[in-house]
Amino acid sequence: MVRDEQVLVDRISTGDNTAFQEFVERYKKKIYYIAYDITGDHDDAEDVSQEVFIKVLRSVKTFRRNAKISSWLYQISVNASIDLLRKKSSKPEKLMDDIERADIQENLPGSSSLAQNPERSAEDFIIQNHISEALQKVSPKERSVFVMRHYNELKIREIAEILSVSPGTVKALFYRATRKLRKELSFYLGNPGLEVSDE
Amino acid sequence: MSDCKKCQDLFCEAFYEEIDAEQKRFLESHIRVCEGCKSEYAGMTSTLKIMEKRARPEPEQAYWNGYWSRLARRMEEENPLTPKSESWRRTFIRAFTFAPKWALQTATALVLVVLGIYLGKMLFSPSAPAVQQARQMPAVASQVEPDVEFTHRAQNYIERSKLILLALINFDPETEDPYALNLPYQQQVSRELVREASFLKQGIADSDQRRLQNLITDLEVILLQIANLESERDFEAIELVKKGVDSRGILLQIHVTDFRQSTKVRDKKTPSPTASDTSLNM
Repeated sequence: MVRDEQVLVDRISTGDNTAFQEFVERYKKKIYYIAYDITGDHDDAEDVSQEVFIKVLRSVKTFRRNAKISSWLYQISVNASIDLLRKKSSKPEKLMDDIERADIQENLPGSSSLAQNPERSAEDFIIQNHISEALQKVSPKERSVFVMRHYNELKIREIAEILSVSPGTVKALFYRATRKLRKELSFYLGNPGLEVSDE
Repeated sequence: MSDCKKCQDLFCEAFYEEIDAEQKRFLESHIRVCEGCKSEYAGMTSTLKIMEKRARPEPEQAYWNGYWSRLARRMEEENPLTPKSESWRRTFIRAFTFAPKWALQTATALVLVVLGIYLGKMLFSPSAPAVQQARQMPAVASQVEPDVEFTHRAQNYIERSKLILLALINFDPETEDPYALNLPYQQQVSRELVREASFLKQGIADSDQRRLQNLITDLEVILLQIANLESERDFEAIELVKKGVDSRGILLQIHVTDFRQSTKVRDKKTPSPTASDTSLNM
């Protein structure tokens, strides 16, 4: 653990509220993004990220000082996100159509909707929706691995440490996730005209 | 492992350039000769490129500015400094989420075997003697002499305490999930045993069973420590309890008691002048 992180954690464990606020400011975005990538929902990501900080406060005294703080935070975040998805999946969920989804995107703080941003093409909007849908069709476990590697740039070894599995398992989960995504997005892969460019 | 399987295992590392030079050479040479892997790699690469097009909505600065106050409000409601125990259901589900497939298969097979044995016993074992035995139990119990009853209670106390201690001693926080310890249950049993200890100590007070008295007193101290542990993650306190068990030689004392008891049972089976003595006599 980096020296100043260690000092911060020590201060939190003595009940220093300013240190905890500093900690929250430092990691809030990182935790929100991973939670958003796994849950695919802004409100859920906010809920999970708050829960992660509350858990940190509860268990900071037992945190092993030689462990990496980001790994610890990712571990709590991934578990909290998966728990939340599991809770949600046990409740009947209302199916959303594209219009409802567009409304939600419009109301998301800071998100640029189709109407506010005319240069964003309808085609791009549809692709975005398809990608989000495809990602939600991958199992939470596979999705966690995929988003950690692809969107949060964690190394395979780091992901293995966070999930307490072998690097081989991480690679297998990643491969399975990619195959499922490929199947879901085959429309774009099979249509060279529509294939998304590298830019 | 076939070359194709080896090659597929390297796809993820190759795409993110986590691959070393030797592996890269192997992958490239294999893809050159294997059409299947070549197309698989190309498909995977295209998929990942499409996924790069995903735009994650970025909340406005105002959202981030208000983050702390929203969190502080929630913390006021939840009071995070009060320890919250995780439900057994959640712990169980979490333990199985990232467990490898073979572990799940083994666990399922074990459950089926245990279930089979249980059903076999329930369905095929003669039930009449068990019923008769159950009916006779109260009568026998009422005829049991007080010192025999006391011995049974003492044995039961030691046996239950031993199980609690073993669970704690064998618990390794480095490799095991702390919640697997099921501390709330251990604490409940410990409290029951502490109450039982005070009864047993009264029973021993007048007799000369000094060893048994010492063992019960030592166990009482340790069980009290367990009953007062703050949480599963209080590793320092758990370590102190373990040291206490070790320094008092409690497990050794229990083994000696067990050994004496088994010797006594053996003596009873082969009639001897002292076989009528049923007390632990320690």
